[in-house]
Amino acid sequence: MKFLIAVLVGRFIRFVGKFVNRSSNLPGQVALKICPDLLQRFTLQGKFIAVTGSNGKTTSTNLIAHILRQAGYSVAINTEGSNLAPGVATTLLTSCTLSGKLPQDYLVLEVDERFTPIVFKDLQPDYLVVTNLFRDQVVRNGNPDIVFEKIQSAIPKKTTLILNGNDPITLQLAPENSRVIFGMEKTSRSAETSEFLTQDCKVCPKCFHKLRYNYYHYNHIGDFVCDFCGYRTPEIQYMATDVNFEAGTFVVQGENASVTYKTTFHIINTCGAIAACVTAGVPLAKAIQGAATFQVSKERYDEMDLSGRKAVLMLTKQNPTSLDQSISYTLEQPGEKTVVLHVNNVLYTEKKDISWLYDVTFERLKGKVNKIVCSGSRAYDIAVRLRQGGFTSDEFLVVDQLPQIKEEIKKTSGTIYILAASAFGNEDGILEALK
Amino acid sequence: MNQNYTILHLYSDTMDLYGDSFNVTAIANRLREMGDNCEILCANLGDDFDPMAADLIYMGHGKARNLAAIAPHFLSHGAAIKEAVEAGKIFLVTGSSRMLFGESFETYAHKIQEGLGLFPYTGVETGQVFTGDVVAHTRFDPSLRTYGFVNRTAYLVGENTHPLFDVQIGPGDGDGASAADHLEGTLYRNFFGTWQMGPLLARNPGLLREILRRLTGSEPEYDDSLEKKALELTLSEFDHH
Ligand SMILES: [Zn+2]
Repeated sequence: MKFLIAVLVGRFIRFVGKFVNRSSNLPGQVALKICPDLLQRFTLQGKFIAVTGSNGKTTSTNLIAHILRQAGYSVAINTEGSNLAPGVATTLLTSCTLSGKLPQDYLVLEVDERFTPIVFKDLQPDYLVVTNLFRDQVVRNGNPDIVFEKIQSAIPKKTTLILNGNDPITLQLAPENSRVIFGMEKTSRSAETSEFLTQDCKVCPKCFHKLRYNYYHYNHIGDFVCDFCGYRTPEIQYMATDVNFEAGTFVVQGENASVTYKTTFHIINTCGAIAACVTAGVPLAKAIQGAATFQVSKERYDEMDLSGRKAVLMLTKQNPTSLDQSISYTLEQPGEKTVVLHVNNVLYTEKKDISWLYDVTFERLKGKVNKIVCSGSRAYDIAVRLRQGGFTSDEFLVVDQLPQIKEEIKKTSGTIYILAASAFGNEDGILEALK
Repeated sequence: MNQNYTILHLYSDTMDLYGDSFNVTAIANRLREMGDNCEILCANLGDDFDPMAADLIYMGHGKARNLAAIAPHFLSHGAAIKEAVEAGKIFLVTGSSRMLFGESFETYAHKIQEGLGLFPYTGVETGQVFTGDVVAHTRFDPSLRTYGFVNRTAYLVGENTHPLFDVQIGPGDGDGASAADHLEGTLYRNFFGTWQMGPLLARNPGLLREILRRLTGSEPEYDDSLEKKALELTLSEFDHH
């Protein structure tokens, strides 16, 4: 009875909430208050694929759901930003029958790393995709070891892991569990020496001696080997080979595959999504077909015209790897460029720390862009960071009052790349100020 | 005229969590800007090192597992490190590395690891991440106000005989819960220690000047108005609340 009331109240709040555009966490939050063991009470008729990791969870979750739907299966999925326990509860209570059955063929859930113990205690995934683990923003998340321990403690024995063969950290998860490995072969964009400041695996996670890389894809993701204890990249079943970035094509398990967002990061994650879907019962050809038509969310990447100049908006998470990826994308594009770095205080906390900006390799922009425009509540801190990286005062400018940004931008030239590092990016209206 | 300086960055690969290496970069950048030469030597697990041969020794913040992994190697150089501290070598030790210089500390596996015993504190591991802004005044110049950030899983107990900071806002050396917890860091001879992690010197031009003053023996000359402005803005946000 408690369960039914929780579901009905949750659905009612969800229904009303749709009109006032409220967060998707509230219905689940209230339902969990009414029925604390709510998550345990659902019965899954299909298979449950969970996705966690530092970066690329939302895109991977959406991609997996897209592949499954294209292949003709019914899917329940949580929407972006609802990856904590209440958000998961909202998804389930809006997708179930009144008796608590989830009739869909697949349940696909993005679960925040820190919340895996809470969610998996009640709802055990058949498959768990771990995209990668990086140092997050210091203010929020603690360090990769702490996050690793959280996920480690959460993984049920029955869960099959879908792991990134190029990530020495996550490969160590639950060694007793069955696992499927995805990854990417050396490409034209791989590097012999790391060009990134952030490298969370400079030393071997098993023996703490220097970890050697045959090549890097980005940050600590690559082909690694420890000469001291022998820890190395394992055999990769779902390996992207023959990668052609211009065409967005690659080969996986001998079949031709393609993507519309043509980056290293996205191709590796696509291999992970294909691996998860095939392992969960989708034919390989169907999985590849689905991946080929997937579009990255417009909220994260958008192109527009600003007073006759082309502008590209990229919302990045407030962590170094995410911003590094946006810088990589910017550098891969042809033509003259101006980069706007828009950084606010970390959402929710209002803490002033910007240490994470020192782990972003802004140095790669040196000599490659017309100007860097620093904006947002931490604009001066970005400028100080750039100065430490060897940028001179004619290479950047600081906009400390957002309404002035339009005038300042006129002093620059080329395509405008707006790298907005705040949880929901546009909440303080940078786009409106630019228009 | 031109001086040669050597910075020894200890465990640069292992004790490196959140932009800590920019403390070394900030020092080297200013020395070079003033026309001096600055060489940065890195020593890691298995490498031999000699603190007396360097002008400044830096050690940063690291994960609890990493700290436990390097502790025996570090302590095998204990006598030389103690000698260098007592001889007035400049040390900057940020974050969890501080625990190596105390009596002992608890590791992530709740084992007790002995420290150098230079200072009377001991480290307690919680396994939980604790974060917070820190606004403080320095002991060497009480008019100097600093901003820093802590992100740690451990805290210190024991008397702070040589504090570096009087904390105005945020946690001191302890568990952050105690109101009397208003002291932070260590300043002993030229040894600077603090829980405040990340690019502390890049963000605090006054602290950087003090370290350069002690390193070069004179008032360093350069323009740090941008850094001062950025810090001022950050500090003013605390005053408005
Ligand atoms: Zn090893």
